[in-house]
Amino acid sequence: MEDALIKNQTRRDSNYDFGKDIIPSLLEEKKKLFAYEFNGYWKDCGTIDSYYDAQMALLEEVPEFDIFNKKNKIHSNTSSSVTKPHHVDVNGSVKQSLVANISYIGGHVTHSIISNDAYIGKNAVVEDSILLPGAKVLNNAVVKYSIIGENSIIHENSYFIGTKDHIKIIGDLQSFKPKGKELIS
Amino acid sequence: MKNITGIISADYLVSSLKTLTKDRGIAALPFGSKYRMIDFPLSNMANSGIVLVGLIVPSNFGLLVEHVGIGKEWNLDKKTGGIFILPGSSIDYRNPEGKFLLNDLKQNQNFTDSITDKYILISATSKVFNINYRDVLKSHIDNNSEITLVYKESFSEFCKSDYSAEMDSSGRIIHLDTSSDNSNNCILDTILINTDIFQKLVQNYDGYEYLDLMKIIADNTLKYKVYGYEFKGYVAVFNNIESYLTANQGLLNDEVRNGIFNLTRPISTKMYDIPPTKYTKSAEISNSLVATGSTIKGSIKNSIIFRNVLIEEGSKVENALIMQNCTINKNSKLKNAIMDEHSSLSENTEVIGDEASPMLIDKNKHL
Repeated sequence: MEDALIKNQTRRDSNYDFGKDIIPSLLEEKKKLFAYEFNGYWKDCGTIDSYYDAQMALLEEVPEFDIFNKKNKIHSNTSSSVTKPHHVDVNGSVKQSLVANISYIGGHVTHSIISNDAYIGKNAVVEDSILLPGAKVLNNAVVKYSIIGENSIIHENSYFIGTKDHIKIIGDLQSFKPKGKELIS
Repeated sequence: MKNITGIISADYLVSSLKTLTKDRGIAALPFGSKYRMIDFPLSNMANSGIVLVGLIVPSNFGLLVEHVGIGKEWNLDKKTGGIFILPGSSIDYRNPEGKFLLNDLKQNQNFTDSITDKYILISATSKVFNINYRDVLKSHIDNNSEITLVYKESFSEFCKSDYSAEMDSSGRIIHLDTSSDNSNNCILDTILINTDIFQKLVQNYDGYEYLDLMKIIADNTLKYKVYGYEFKGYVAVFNNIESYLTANQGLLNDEVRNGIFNLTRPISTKMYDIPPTKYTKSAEISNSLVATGSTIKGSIKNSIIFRNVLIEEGSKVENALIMQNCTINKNSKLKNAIMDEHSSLSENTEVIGDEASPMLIDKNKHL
């Protein structure tokens, strides 16, 4: 392996990629390469659609990928020791969703993934969406078929709506203020 | 703040909490969806920069020591400083509810004699609040005080058997009593004391080990400079099953929750890697606090839900507190109740307590 890497480094026509260059070069040299068949669940989250679909699949009654399995726990960073529980307010509601710590839910959440420290204001609606850590959907805003980036804000009274085939996205640390038709009258 | 050593006193009984503290003591009692009582003084100390903490444990210390571990979550896993487990005196039969028994301190004289910091901050574990001990130290130094007691004004009705203080206009405590009608300043089980005075007091009362440190301070308000420090934030207290439930539900108030879970001084707790809480199509939830790892298929109202709780379809939970690893099976009802860890309600069961005196379901009970 080391030899193959060193050789490859000097080649000008290389993509410097394991799949495209290194492994094929080892094959050419007739090294002993074997395959191992993995039979468990796997999903490549390399595109927006597959990233979205993979998360939404967790909302099935019995998801194919069981994150609740106590035997094969998925470990995460240590910040969970300082995070408070999430709070669903008097007029809030949550259905068919996953909700992590710290989050505040004052509005209505359906079929969505709510990460740590997300904020859903009063009368706000979040459907078929993913809120990344620290994302905020302020009062009366409506978010559907969207992914809201970390610490981004969807301002009051705004529509942020994608479709099933076209998931709408806002990146990290962004702010979305309504204008014209995006404003709820 | 490397000039303060912390001592947390957890070796006392709160008999009015019945079976809630029987096997675990007050320090390991769950509070607020994912915490145990010890998390509050321990986090306060860590957030105030205290790096050496002695924890006096009760005889039933198993869960407490497992929870605290080597203090990693409070950044106390250190080579200099750290958390020291100090054995309690297994409750002196003459004074089982004394929070700062001299016997407990005496028994750990190896630890207390070795303290080189100028001050000792001693706290019990029965009250929930988020305080910056640096502010207490500043007031202690400004007053040129030898002992400073943290108190809450107009609060005595909530902490009946606790000490309350009477002060002169300079803030110096002139009278300290458990049954004072003249003052309404409840001492919050928090003592900042000069290390030399502490060591002197422990020595002077040789032979009186059944006494409580607070009683000794009360007897010496003329001899030493004892000042009060007023804590203005929110304090949750409870001394029976009813107030334990209401104190927990207090966290449903935004102001209370934001005061106790102050973002700049976070309350830490033992970490578990658990998934988010899952709500299904049939879930209904209103005004509740929920920790992670739970599955909610039924309905919840005005309740506090801990980690890894399963609430099945058709079930109704109202005005209740459900501790970790409990299960409410299908079509059951839990109202005005507290459910201790690892318990369950079977299908079609109703447990409805009185609003004024909630029902308590013990640990590992399956109804």
